[in-house]
Amino acid sequence: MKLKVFRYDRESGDSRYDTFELDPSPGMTVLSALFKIQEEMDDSLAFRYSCRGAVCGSCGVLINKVPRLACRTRVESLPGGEGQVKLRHFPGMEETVSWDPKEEVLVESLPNLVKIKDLVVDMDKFFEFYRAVEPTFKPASEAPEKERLMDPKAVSELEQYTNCVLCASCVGSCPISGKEEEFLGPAALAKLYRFHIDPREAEDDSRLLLANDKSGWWGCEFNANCKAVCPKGVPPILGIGKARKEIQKLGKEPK
Amino acid sequence: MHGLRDELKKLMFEYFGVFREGKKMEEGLEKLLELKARYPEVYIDNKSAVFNQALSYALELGGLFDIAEAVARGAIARKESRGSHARTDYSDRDDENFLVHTIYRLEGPGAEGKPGGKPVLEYLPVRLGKFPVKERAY
Ligand code: SF4
Ligand code: FES
Repeated sequence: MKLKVFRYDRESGDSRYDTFELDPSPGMTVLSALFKIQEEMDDSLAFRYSCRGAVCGSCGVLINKVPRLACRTRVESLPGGEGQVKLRHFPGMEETVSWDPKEEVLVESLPNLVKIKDLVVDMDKFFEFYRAVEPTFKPASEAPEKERLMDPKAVSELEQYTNCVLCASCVGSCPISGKEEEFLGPAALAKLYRFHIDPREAEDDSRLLLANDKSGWWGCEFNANCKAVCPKGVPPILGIGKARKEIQKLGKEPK
Repeated sequence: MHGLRDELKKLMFEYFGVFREGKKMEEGLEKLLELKARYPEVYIDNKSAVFNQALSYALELGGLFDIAEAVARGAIARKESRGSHARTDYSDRDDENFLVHTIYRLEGPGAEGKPGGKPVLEYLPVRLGKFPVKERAY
């Protein structure tokens, strides 16, 4: 099996693709393959990781033109197209290098984010947008003596969005994030929606109105790539759609 | 570099895994110190100033050797079994002598003024909370 890996160096600005041959052990993930390359073939290869178990969100990369977590993607499943995901056109999809999907696994850095080194991208912008939606719990009432109770009925809806691990796969796959510099992007909007529907927060529209413009809810064109690539099953597109409906009902659509 | 790290992993697993035994650990410590002596020879090909993971692994490996030595010396001195420190030569828990925290530090400068120094083991009392001290029954 061959891994064709994107290489980039911010210092020189040079980029290229390197091909590495390896014998995948059963169940080997793309992340373990990258470790193997780094340890045995080329110690200059750079990539991010931490938990190795799909909970930290550090290892988001573009694999065979689909943004995925390297630690959750098995190498064997890739050649020949198993696990293919159909996506609407986004910048990362364009052909960057010729590769043979039957024999090679193509690993590149996440699109729509500034490149630093090889598979490592600058996450500053992602987290800037994340901070912009004020992603912390703002309780409606004073702290109770014991715990703040959660309505179990609200959990299933809420959970869909709280599962996000901030891997930026959705942002990497989003056609709008690719063309609109200021668009908050699927992850941040999903997070904003998650706090808006949290029953422990105040029942007002302040959260909704925080993104009531083209860089927020109204920038989305419902391509649905975000939902298709999310490794945690988060549906940003659904939250965005619901937020828009609510705003329409309020009659507060932006001009 | 990765070769040395692998050797360290194997050594620690074999000599300082869950089941431990005094003589074997002494032997393990000796081997560990031999391995550690090779650390200054570590080199890396990667000279990049950007996201140089080879460099961070190499620096981390130095830390791993220090930690491994602390584990080894602490385990050898703790002549009892407690939790996942299971000694085949001292299979009982000994609260009289070892209901204490092991403190490990390096005293004075290392060889040729480098960081390091003489390993020193000390013990601090355990501050007991609400739960009485007793052997685990599971
Ligand atoms: S919504 Fe999904 S794809 Fe987007 S950052 Fe969160 S976990 Fe990653
Ligand atoms: S390494 Fe944490 S999600 Fe992949």
